[in-house]
Amino acid sequence: MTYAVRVQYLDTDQGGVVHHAAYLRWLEAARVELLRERGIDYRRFELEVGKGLPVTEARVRYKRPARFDDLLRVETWVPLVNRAKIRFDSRIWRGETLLTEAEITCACVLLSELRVCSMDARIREAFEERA
Amino acid sequence: MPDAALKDKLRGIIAEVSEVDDIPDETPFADLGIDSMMALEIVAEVERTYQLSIPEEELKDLTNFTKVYMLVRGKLADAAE
Repeated sequence: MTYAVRVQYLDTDQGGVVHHAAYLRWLEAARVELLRERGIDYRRFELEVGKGLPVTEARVRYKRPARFDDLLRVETWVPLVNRAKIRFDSRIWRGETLLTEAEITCACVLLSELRVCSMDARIREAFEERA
Repeated sequence: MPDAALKDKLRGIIAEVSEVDDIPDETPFADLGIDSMMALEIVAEVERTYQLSIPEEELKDLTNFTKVYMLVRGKLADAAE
């Protein structure tokens, strides 16, 4: 799944490049779109199923800077899903230049209790055969 | 599988997932720094290794090594019947 991002002025820092935290927002947006593409509306998932997918680990490698008004492409896929976690891997590109690589791991929690539970079956079914 | 071999294998799985070298029989996982997320990863790996299914309601009882061992031993015995 590919998610397009236009870098806004507020995404940049005093050095004139994109602040490292901005990438985390784009990675999250790409995850939500990937879920949607697989038939899971994340807002409805939280409201109706009562579970959430909090980030438990984030690894990001910043290889090249992005700047204001750059048009970026966030590619995201799921290499791993099991009972305990789901991992979203991403690459962020500007044209043919690879800027960032990321691996974001999420657990599944019962929102009412904020307690870890087994990965929801809908999430596993959406990705398992492709992981 | 002989009990000793099963224990060794399970201890290895738990040690690898938790990165805790010494897994005593009765020490609560919480005291070893094994949190609920890690415990779920351990269960996932045990299920994968032994092709078992451990229901959600049984997870809360798996609070130390002996309890994991007893559960897995029982399920393997059931599967062999």
